[in-house]
Amino acid sequence: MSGPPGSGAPPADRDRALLAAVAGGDEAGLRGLADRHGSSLLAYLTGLVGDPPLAEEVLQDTLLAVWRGAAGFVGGSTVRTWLFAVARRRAVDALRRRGTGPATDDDGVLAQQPDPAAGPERRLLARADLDRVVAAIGGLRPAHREVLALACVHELSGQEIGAVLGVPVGTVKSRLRLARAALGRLLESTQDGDGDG
Amino acid sequence: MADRLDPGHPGHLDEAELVAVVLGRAGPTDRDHPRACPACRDRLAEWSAVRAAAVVVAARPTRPVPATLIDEVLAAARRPPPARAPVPAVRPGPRLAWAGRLLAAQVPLLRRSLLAASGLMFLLGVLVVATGRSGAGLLAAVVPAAAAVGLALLHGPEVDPAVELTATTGTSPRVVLLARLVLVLALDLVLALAATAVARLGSADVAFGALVTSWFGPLLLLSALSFALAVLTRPAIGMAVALGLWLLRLSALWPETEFGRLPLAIDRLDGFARVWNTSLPTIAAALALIALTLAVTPRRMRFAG
Repeated sequence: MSGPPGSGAPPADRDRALLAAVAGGDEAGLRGLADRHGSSLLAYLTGLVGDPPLAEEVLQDTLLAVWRGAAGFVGGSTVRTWLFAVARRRAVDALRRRGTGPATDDDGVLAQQPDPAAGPERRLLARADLDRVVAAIGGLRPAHREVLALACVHELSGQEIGAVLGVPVGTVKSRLRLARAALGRLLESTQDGDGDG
Repeated sequence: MADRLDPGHPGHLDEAELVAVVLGRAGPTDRDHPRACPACRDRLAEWSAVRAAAVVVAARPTRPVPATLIDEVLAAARRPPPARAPVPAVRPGPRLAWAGRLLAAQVPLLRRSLLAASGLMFLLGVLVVATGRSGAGLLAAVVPAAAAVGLALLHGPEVDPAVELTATTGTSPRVVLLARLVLVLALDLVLALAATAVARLGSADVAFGALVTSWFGPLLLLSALSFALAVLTRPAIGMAVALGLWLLRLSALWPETEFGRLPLAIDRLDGFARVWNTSLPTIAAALALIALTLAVTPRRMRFAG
């Protein structure tokens, strides 16, 4: 008896083999993709929609879209990137149905704010306690939390993040820079608050 | 690495490269750079802290993927689609609104092709002015090539970051392609007409209609060729062939200029040059080529993996 499609191959090739199996109507292909990427997608979607039950619904919707649209994959990106892109689109649709807008692209607004080139907030970010940085991430704008998650947690490259978000890679780098700068400012403001108190 | 310019930090690793170093996915050059660069070392320390915190944040939702999820997905896939109410024979309002939304949705995805076309317009303009052509000659030379480049960059994984996503939507690639074609061709025609109006100011002895005739047929034929080759092969091939044909056309058309000194500027190109005019056969050939390209574009994209 043979193993699941693509077993033993490098991860990207294994994903392609699984997706090709899905395109051919093989349920094992979909189970294989869910095993490999389901947890990661669920964590991403939970961060994106902010509601675990809704994230599960969106994941189900995503896998249904993958089942129906696998033949539409043209190989211009990795399967993993494509899955994240499909998941994001489904999440945005779900949020719209609920009357909640998706994370807005606020690069223009934040680009006006200074980047702490070598200021005290930079040293703060590098030396802050983990708990404080975790709390500060919660204070970021949604678009910046999302780009941090895609880069640092799901380990997508700048190019891949651009494909998921539908923006140029330069915009991804800019968002990463602004997110880091915003974290520095948030830490500085909470430290000032602590000092005042 | 040293030659790359990060807009925020010129000459240093950019943010994505720093994250790659933190994740252990960077190449040796990027990995070693922070050792010799205090600025990047500081930013790397920040990204290490950010990464550690981001992982903690992502680990918070502890709900695992439900074991029954795939069964539910497959059950939903097997379910017949919900019965739809009969569609009225004519629904011009919603259809027009849908077409409008489809066209509007293409605008953000076309910026790159339009910029490229504008850039080419500028470059060719400089080139043609250097050869001392009149305003009418400039229009005839520049407008078709600029439009052809724009159309070569309409569609495809190489030029469209959203192509994979488009493939998962209910709208067929053929309809998306048609929407983009209409949008860019309309914009090209408006720009070309505006340029013609300006050129008319400097060539008062030439009728506006004659100026339009100098570029309209060639624009349509060259754009159709570029579009067909880009869609059926690759955007780069569509662009290269269109520009190559156009150089030959200029070479045959203006043998007394720099273009005429091209190695291929030979007498037998005269017949070739005559194809590029505004005539019924040329326009019909261009429209037929566009229709044929759209007809062979699949309703759904093929799996290419």
